[in-house]
Amino acid sequence: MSVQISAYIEDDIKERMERYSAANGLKKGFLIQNALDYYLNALHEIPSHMIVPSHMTVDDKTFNALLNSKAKPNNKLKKLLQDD
Amino acid sequence: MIEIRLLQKEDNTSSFDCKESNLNLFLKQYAKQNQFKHYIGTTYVAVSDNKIIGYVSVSSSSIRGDELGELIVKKLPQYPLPILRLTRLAVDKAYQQKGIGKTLLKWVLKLTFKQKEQFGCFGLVVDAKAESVGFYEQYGFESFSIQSGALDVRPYAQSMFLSTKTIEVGVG
Repeated sequence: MSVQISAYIEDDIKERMERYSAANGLKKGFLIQNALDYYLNALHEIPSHMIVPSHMTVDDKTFNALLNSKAKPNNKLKKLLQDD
Repeated sequence: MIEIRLLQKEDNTSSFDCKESNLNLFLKQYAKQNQFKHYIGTTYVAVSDNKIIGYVSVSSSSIRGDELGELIVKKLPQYPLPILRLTRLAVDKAYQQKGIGKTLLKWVLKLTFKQKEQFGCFGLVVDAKAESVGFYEQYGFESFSIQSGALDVRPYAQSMFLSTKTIEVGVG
């Protein structure tokens, strides 16, 4: 079911929409409906900068260094962990 | 009195302001999605008088060597090692310099230890902003370079590592 909506938009957006509509032979209602649909869906997508990759790769030298990391806790770390 | 607990669906995040738009945006718009909808990360919040004054986000992850080098690869495990990854830590501007960040870090260090006990965890990796590297270094975190799996953030975050063994000894 289609319904009619009314909204104020910036005049430059209206001009761009009319140019695109005329150039591509698309009805303005179709453009507006698709733009809203894209926008509302985009709000539910997680942008890439918010995603945490589940795997990290390092070169073998670094991996070896991490594997052999046997650093004793320094005093600040001990104090932080033991201070309750 | 400050309480550290899991972020809850009904928590009001709208007033949080740590002066960094990306960190504010994450808490307000994505932390709950990650935790309650996609299950890809968990956020713990520091709460005082029912107000969120800080948060820290973690995800389980893994780390492995690239297996391309000519090192003594035989000694290295040929499988990824489980780690906990601290991706974001922020404190509201009205509560900065009061030890909230330190308290949140302590929470994550203990979480790393719990993860080790429950299902294995080789260490804690932090994605640190350049200005936060010193904060982590003072507790013994060491910087390292990664080849893939970096956060898609600008400027790039510095990866830093602290082994579970070190945390375990520190716990005493």
